[in-house]
Amino acid sequence: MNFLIDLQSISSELILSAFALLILVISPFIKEEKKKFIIYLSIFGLIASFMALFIQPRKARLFWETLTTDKFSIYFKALFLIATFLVILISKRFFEHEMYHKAEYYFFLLLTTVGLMFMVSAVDLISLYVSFELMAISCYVLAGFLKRNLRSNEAGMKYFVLGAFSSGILLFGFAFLFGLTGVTGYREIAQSLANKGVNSFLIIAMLTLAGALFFKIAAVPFHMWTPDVYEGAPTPVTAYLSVAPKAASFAIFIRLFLEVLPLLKNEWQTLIAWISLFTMTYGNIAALTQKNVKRMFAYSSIAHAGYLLIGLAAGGDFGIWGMLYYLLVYTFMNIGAFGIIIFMKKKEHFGEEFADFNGLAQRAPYLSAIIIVILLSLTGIPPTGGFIAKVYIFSAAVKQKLYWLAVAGVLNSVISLYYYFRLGMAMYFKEPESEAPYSPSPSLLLAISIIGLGILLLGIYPHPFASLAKISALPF
Amino acid sequence: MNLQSLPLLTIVTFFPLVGIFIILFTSKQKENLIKVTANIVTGLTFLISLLLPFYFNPQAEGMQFVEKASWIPAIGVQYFMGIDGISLLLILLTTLLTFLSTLSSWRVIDHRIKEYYIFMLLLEIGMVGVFTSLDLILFYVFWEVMLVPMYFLIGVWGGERKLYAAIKFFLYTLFGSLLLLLGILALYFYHHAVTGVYTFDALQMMSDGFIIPPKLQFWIFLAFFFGFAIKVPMFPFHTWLPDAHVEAPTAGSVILAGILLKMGTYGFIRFSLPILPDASKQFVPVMVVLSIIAIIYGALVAMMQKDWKSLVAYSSISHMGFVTLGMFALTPIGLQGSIIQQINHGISTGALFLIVGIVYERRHTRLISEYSGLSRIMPVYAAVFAIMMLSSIGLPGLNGFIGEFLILVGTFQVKWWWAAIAASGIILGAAYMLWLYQRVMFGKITKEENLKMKDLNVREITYFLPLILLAFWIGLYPKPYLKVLEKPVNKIVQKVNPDYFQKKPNIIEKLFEHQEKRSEFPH
Repeated sequence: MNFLIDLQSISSELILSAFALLILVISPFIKEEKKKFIIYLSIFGLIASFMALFIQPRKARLFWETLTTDKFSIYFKALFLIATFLVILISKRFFEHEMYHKAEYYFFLLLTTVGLMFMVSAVDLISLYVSFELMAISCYVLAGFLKRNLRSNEAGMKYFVLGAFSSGILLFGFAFLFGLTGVTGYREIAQSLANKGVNSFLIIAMLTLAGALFFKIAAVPFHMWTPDVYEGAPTPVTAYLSVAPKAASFAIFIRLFLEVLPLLKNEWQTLIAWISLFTMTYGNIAALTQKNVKRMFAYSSIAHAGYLLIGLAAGGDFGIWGMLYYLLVYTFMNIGAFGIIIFMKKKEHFGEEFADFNGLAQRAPYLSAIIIVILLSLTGIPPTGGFIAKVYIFSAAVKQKLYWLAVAGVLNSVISLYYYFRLGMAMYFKEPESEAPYSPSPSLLLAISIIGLGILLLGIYPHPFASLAKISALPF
Repeated sequence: MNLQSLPLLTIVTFFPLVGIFIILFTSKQKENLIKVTANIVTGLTFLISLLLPFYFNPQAEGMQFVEKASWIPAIGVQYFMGIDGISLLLILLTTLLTFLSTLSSWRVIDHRIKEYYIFMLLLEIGMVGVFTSLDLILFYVFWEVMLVPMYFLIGVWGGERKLYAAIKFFLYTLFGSLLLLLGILALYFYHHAVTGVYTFDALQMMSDGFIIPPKLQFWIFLAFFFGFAIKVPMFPFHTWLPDAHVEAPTAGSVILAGILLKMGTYGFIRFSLPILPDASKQFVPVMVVLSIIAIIYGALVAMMQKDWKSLVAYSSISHMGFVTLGMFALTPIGLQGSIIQQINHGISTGALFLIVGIVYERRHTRLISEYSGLSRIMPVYAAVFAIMMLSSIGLPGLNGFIGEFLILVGTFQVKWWWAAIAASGIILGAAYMLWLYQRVMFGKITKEENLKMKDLNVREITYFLPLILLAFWIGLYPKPYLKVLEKPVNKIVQKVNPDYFQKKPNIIEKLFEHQEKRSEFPH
């Protein structure tokens, strides 16, 4: 039965949706003090979904050629599940401090993840758009989840208005593609375009698609929403938004542009190379002057989108494969970056100033050491995953003789060192305001330990992960 | 047990990890236990590294103690370690100086002791790793790993402007090293394009069959140049050094001057010269001019310093100018002198920083004007300082002389006037050092506080003793050192300047020939 194979191929997504719905249904019947159960349930759902990835076929087209499962999509699905798992671990303490710990949060989180998983397996414009919106709408809700908090409201609203706008642009691009070819499947579109050749409508389609995706990955000049949304959204949500939807958008960038628009490869690669230059430079320079740590990390994630775009601009095996590896490392280090802000959070106190970190090394040496590892990785200094990832990305640029872009990446990394280590400076070189030893919640500590170890592992023994990324990037 | 079957280099490099783990799990309050552990571990590392010269064969060609394993096969990165005479000497210098500076920190470092010793041990891993690795990425990893603990050493235990100095040091060196990384990548892809093999193996890159077109060599050399020259530091890139040196704690300065600076020159010798011979030759005029500027400029600025420590820091710039000058003479004698001078600089400047540290520990000021007549109250100290100062100046019989002499001879063989200008740097060096000595050691005791200063204690004498012995050993009997350097140096010159071995006999050799001929006549 063909249909059964199809169902097997989306087993992960089905399991996760089922858990999401289950959480929504049972949450009214769970007492306030037993909220932990919801967390266990969602983690269990994630693990089950992760296991199901192993039974998904490695190469199949399903549901009348609208979805696919291949190594590429499975790599990303695993990435999203890991990201969601880490975000759930860092969420509990945050929402408890905000006195707003609701089961719906986990429902939306899981639902977003389902959307992301469909996004990376879509090979048809319609299925792509539907999953895209599933993800986007859940994200808007998440960003504005703290309904009594003004900053969160502002973030949700901004994200919604601009996000809807960018979805419109995306649709516009789809319309052009459909108008040119009369079909919606990636493969058919590519075939039809190959017969027709390049024309001005195709260029408009390429530009609009690129614009919409630049918006999603927060690339300059479509980054305006990022600092505000990232600063205003609840911190765990920021961590999630800066990682998972961004990774999915990069996946779509890779699949859509390489499968559908190979005709214009030179054009869009040049475009992306320039956008990459602007994005990393802008992100880094803007981050230099920030006084709020969360906002600084918001700008830093813009800069990282810039580095990632180098991989796409260079293309080739090193480029795509480097992006996949980079995204894996990025997942760990960026969730870690926003996670450490939650550590500093107390009731009625955001914990987002540099001064909040003063002398942390003496109060919490273990935590500070992990923060240093995260910061080193963000800068790209060995022996962390960030270094290996940067080596891949810069290799791709050097290989394609994009020397100017590689040099720009290098200069940007140097700039980034300065602001990342303002935090390191506060932790190690300043004196603490209180001597009291610091005791974080166990789940947060678990999350940050996993992140720290993960980053070191990705830097010291990258072999298994690098080959996984290599295999997954193979179709492109 | 057969020691040669052990992965000796890996053990030497990573042995400090043992200490790190022990200290990590020791309570912060047990300060003495932490100190003892750190001292024992660095001491043991030094003892283990002493095994290397016993099993080292100076007659053998190529690398010894080679260890090779696959690390990131996807892109052809290997765990590839091996040493020749050049790295051997630098490793021994590193383990010795780390041990001595750990010993010197016993009383000076009085807060956040646990972190201090962890960073110290981490630093040692990075430094030894740089000198042992032969895979470019592995080299790069160690090269960068060592930045981080140094940053913290300056930033936490440094002087008043420590924050500024720490980040400046970090930014400068990171900028250089990332360009170095790009150079490595360009080399890697060119190697793939020619041979079809993805590898970062430095020995493959310098093999005779692999020829890089001059234009590419030029760019890669430039990228390497930024990485290494900032570290040395060569003339226009030196501005981080006085800040870092002056603000760092004593042990940090010793390691910075004694070892970190050598990594830059080591990088030139190990990678730039043999991998990029054509570009190296092309760059000779630039490098020589920059070196000569550094020699003269460093010496002149040192003369004007009011701060004792920054005087020594600027003298470092001048001395490193000699090292790069000898290196880019591209003659075996110059190159040998350059390496010997690196060791000498580690010994004498390391000792000079320790000497400043001693008075700073007692008086908490480094201003030269605060001291005078110290020789009366601290006779042992005055003697140690005298020996080390004379070694730094290059008095015959002490180590500095051998290095400077060889460098000048090597340079003279190429262009006599390079040597002539550089020699004037030695005179300036004598001037500022002797003047410093005169100001702080002789004359009347003007300050009350100085009367109470204690002379060196046993621990302090212990850490000066090996340095003094080495200064005399190299000064009086440098043969064993020159012998281990002979093979690798000849190999590098063969690669970068093959004309040297075919050319007509040079001036000095002619001179000797002449004399020999004369002596044939009966009187």
